[in-house]
Amino acid sequence: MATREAGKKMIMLKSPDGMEFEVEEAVAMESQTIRKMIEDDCADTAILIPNINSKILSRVIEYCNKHVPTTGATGAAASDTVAPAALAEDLKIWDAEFIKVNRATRFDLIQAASYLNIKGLLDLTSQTTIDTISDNSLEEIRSFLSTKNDYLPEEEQTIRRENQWAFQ
Amino acid sequence: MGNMLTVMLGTTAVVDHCHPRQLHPGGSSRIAGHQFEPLSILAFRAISEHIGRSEAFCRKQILNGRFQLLTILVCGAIRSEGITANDPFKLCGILICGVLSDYISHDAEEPATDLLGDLPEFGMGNILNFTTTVADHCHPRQLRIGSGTVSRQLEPLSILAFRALCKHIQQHEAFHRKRIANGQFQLLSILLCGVIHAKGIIGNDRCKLCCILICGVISDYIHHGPIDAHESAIDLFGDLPEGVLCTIFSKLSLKEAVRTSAVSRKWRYLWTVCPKLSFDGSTICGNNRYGKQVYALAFIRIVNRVLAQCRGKLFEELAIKIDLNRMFVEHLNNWVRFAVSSSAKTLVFDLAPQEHQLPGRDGQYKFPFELLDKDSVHRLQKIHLSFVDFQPPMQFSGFPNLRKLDLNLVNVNGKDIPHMLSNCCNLEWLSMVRCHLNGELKVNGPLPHLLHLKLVYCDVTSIAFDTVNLATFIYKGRKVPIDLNKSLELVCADIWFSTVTFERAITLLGKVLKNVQHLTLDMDCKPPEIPRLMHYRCMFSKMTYLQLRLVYVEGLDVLSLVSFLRSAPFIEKLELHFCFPGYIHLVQEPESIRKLPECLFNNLKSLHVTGFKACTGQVEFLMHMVENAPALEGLTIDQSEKYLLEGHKKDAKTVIDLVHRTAKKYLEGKISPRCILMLL
Repeated sequence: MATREAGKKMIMLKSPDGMEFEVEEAVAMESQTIRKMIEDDCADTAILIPNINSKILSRVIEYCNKHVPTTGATGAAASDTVAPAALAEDLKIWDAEFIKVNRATRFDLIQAASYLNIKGLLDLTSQTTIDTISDNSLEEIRSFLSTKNDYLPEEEQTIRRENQWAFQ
Repeated sequence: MGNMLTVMLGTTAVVDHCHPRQLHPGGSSRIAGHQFEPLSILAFRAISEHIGRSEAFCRKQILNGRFQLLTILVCGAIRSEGITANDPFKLCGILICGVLSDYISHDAEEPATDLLGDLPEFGMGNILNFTTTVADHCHPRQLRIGSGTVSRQLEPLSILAFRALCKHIQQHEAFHRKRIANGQFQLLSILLCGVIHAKGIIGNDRCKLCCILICGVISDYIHHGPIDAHESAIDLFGDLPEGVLCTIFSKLSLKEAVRTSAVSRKWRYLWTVCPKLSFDGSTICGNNRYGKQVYALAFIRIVNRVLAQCRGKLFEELAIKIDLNRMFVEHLNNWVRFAVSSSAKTLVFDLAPQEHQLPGRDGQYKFPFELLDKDSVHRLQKIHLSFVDFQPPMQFSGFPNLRKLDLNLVNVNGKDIPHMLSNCCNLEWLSMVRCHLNGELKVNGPLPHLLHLKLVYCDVTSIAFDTVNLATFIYKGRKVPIDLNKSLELVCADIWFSTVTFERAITLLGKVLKNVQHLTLDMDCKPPEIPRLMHYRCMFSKMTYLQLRLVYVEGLDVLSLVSFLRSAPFIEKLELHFCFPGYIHLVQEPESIRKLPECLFNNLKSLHVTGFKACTGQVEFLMHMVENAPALEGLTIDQSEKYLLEGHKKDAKTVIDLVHRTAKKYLEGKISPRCILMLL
């Protein structure tokens, strides 16, 4: 429910497992999906976030809370005394700590970031995958993705031959 | 079934029941009526084995013997993992559980299992019907009625989950036929139930046990991953929505993306969701060891092979970067055809030879306008061409949705281009470098979205644009009339005029860049051409940042720059970069230092001088600025040259100490204590 509290508009987010989260509108609007709902006036009652359980949703909200622009109306963690560069550095460290989760959670976060359309979170969560694919051997990629190589050896040879240049 | 022993007995019963010999189609009779897929038999065996081996049913919840609990477990798992349309397995699991749960809690002799019993005879096409039937069966109303009539109440949670699921299935058509065909396991689970039913296990308890077994296995599967190593795992990555896959693949190079085709079968063509196809000769062919012809052939072959694998897919961008070779022409045309057929919005053809000398312009690739159909002309949003002959046909009406046009070393016609640009009304970014127009560039049509305009060495005789929102203007070339009168938002400019006097350049820019805030000016001025102490009006009243690059020639009176600065009295940041083509006199004692009348720059906070050799003019200028900038906070004096003239070597012999000492001596006592001085 959109309520007013201390001058800040609050939005209620509901996860499918029944948990409710009250967040500031500015925080919720870090998600383009929710922003659109709010702008289209579809956010009178609680917004149900399908497919994202409360554990992941609370993590997402934690991220948005941290990343909401400090200059905005929220004035959340903003501190005028901290230089922007230092703040950015601080945020980077926070992000690095935030993403120290197990693999399943990380994939859940990717899905959530994608559904809620939170670009920063999507970049952050998918970066590990991107790095893994760019820097590692096929075997390492498979183990990261928990995928088994189900090619027959001759099939794999054919595929490698077909795109030989990519395997050099 | 209140204790573990019973459960284990039940397990054994099922395992025995499904002994391979018995299940063999030609074997024992009780199942002879049904022909089962060998796969389902295998799966059943695997599951049985798994149950025996991993003691999957030793969990406490199962010992309690409550089927509902199991259902709740499964439902809970599904809910916490989330149900996506990509995940039909989970859906199927809950479907089965739901049906069985319904059956058990209704305590009926026949009902829901009939559904399952009929299943093996269903064709694949009936799966959807099945789904609907189940969904109907579990209509909230029915469930409520049902639970009211039986002794055991369904747990509210499982009802909720089930209801949500049914809705979900209907909304998303989750049971897409193809997906089920691909994911054997789902089908197998359904078949499995059929098998159990067909085998006629007598007595409610046994049947329930089987149900529990199945649910348990499914629950176990969902919670703990694959039962069998060969069963495709819950591939987290592959389950991601296509949009996310696109994002991830778009950040990989084409080579890295293509390499993933060897990860597993599922990954065979996954990389083709990559929205960009970017072929860069230097990265995909490696070093050019075998001469130009072989290199070109290898490149052509690779591009053609990759495109063949991508046929029929849609792409955002096609980019080709390779030294042009005559062999390419026909292939390039084919690649344009590919871009058209794959609905590409961005087209990049960077064909400029890497050699240092600029090549002759004959033999450039002629851009095939004739291959673009009406749709693709409307679709294209970005075009980047290098070393291409770009001649729009007569009456070509422009690219109506083009946002960015980048032409480098492109052969253009001075008449056609302005006409075409007039019709690219959504253009936001235009860059033309070394595209010799040999005439005027007068674009009549309004380009209200144009933000960035760059014209470098284009041999234009005049420039006129109707761009109300232009923010950045970059120009290099001769001083020509520039008409950007409507561009009131123009705040950033980077200008280099060849062979023009300082005064004339300033006069011209004063008219064009009325609202400029950031100006970078590159000047190659000759001594008499900075008029001494000439007074400029306040022409750049909004300028806050000025970067000046000056080629220092003997006799240049640096001090006279002050009079130019007067035209920008509110400047906040000034950078002055000197280049030295020749020998420079250091300041020498006892040379007198001239002083100009006071002229305050109250807003000047930062002054940065590079190429400071402490010659008389520079010292005089520096002294004047320091004395007239009361708010100065940072002063950096760097004796090294930040910008070097082409063909001139860096003068290593500058006596750094002497320069620093001289600067210090003159500045001593003049700098306010708040100002930080850096000598480099």
